[in-house]
Amino acid sequence: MWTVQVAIEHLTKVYRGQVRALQGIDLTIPSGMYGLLGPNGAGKTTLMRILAGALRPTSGAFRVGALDGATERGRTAIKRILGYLPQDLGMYPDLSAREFLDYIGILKGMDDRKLRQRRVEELLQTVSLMAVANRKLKSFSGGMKRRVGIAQALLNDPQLLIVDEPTAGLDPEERIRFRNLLADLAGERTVILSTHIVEDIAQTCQRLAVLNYGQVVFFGSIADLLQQADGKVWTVTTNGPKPTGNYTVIATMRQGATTQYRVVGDGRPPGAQGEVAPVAPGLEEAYIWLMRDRRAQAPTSALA
Amino acid sequence: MSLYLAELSGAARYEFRMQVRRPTLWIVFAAFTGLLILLLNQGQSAIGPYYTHLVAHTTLLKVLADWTFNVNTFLPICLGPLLADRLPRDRRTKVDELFTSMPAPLGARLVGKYLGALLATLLPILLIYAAGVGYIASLAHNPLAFPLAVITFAAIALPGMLFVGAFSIACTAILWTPLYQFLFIGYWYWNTLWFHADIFNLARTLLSPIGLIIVMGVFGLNESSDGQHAIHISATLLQGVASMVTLIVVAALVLFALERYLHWRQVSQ
Repeated sequence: MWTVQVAIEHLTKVYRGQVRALQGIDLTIPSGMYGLLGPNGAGKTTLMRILAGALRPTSGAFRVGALDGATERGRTAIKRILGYLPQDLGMYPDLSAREFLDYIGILKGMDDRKLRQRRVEELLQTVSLMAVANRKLKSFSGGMKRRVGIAQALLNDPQLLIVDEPTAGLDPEERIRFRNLLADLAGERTVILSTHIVEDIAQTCQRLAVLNYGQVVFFGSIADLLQQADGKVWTVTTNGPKPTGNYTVIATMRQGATTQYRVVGDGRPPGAQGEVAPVAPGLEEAYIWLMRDRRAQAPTSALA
Repeated sequence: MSLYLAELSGAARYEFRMQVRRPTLWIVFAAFTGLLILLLNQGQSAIGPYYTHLVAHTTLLKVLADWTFNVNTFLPICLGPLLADRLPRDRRTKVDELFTSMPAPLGARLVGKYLGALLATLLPILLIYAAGVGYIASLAHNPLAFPLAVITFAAIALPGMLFVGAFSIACTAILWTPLYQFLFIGYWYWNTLWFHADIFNLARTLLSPIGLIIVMGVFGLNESSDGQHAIHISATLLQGVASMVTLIVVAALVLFALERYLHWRQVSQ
């Protein structure tokens, strides 16, 4: 299978009421697993929906490999190589998982009945739903529905897989299982994983972009993002008060008579009592460091 | 083109399956038919004596045309409301976004939805219709009633059903579903069941979804079903055929307009 690169140029989306969800995004997404991180309302879902063809941009362009997302023909061609798992996945509750996947296969243009049915069975096996394949979807749990969601996205063996908040609402085991499945899939395709859960990115992606208020505020490798926060993360172990000042407390852990705080801030926390030591940043801390100053610059008109 | 047809027939197959499994579909038709039998099966114009008389005094084709006309006058009251939620359901269940990300054209999905859901909703009507045809065939001792009934249904009932189906699928793109259902039932009572009244009435035009012009023009019926109130209009064969064509063409235009509207709505999001 050949993989594709997604090139986004000056992409802008303005909703009714002059709500600017995306503000001139430029981004190149290489093949493999790519993370899209940002707080709620950053514009991730809008970007995903535009790439999936469910929404039209106000201006700007994007290409998937050689396919132009600005033309009707290009969009249809992109849809043929696309697998999309929306944030809020819709299903017909009265269909069984097998029927639903077959229906989606038809709409994806898989007109050879035998091939389609074989693919449906393969994917039911992949997502471990074979035993409940004839049960109506309305009886499925959230995790099972997500698995049906990923199965439908993979039906046409897509070169580009877009998954929007796929682990939201899943229990820890389901989340891990889901992340592993995505990472396995990324070996031979481009997977865009949009989430506000930093851990999901940390465990699966080498490269990522961070969105905030409809703008790309960072793109690069995880190592690049971690490097930005180098020397900005501290542990403060004290039996005194919580560190104050321009610091974000990431974690608080009681250790008998003392409490250990993990904080993110520029320089050694001034006035902190007790033992203060610099530590290597994790991705969550690097993300907090990146977003720290940007929260104050919030434009009023951006949304999801 | 073959892919388009495959997507259309696939959508039709699953829409049929989902609609035919709805308990509401069967409950509504059973209850309404039971009510009709209770109301109409009384006195001189009771169904049994009425058709016994008709079979003895007129041709089999006219008897079947009369039966088809009666079925087509009453049962679409259920057809419209039962089809009206098919399009809003895609929004309610949020499959809209997923389907938009797929290469299948909107037109194929819409026509598939229309045909599949309509055919499923026609199934109870066809069963009731077939029961009546069986009764007429037994009265007439003539099995030819069955093939003739296919012709009368296709000519009298089907154009109106296609017409009503198209509006019922399309109108809820802009109207709140319960409001459409209320308006539809009101329209059906006022405009089609009272077609004898001297007020403006769509049922006396080429756009008659109950098939009044067809039944008069093509099959030569000129009396109302109770045999008492003469309908003071007449129709020629040409008008009957024109009514059939008009109903089918308008249904197609409504679906085309719906596809354009939904496309525009998606683009202007």
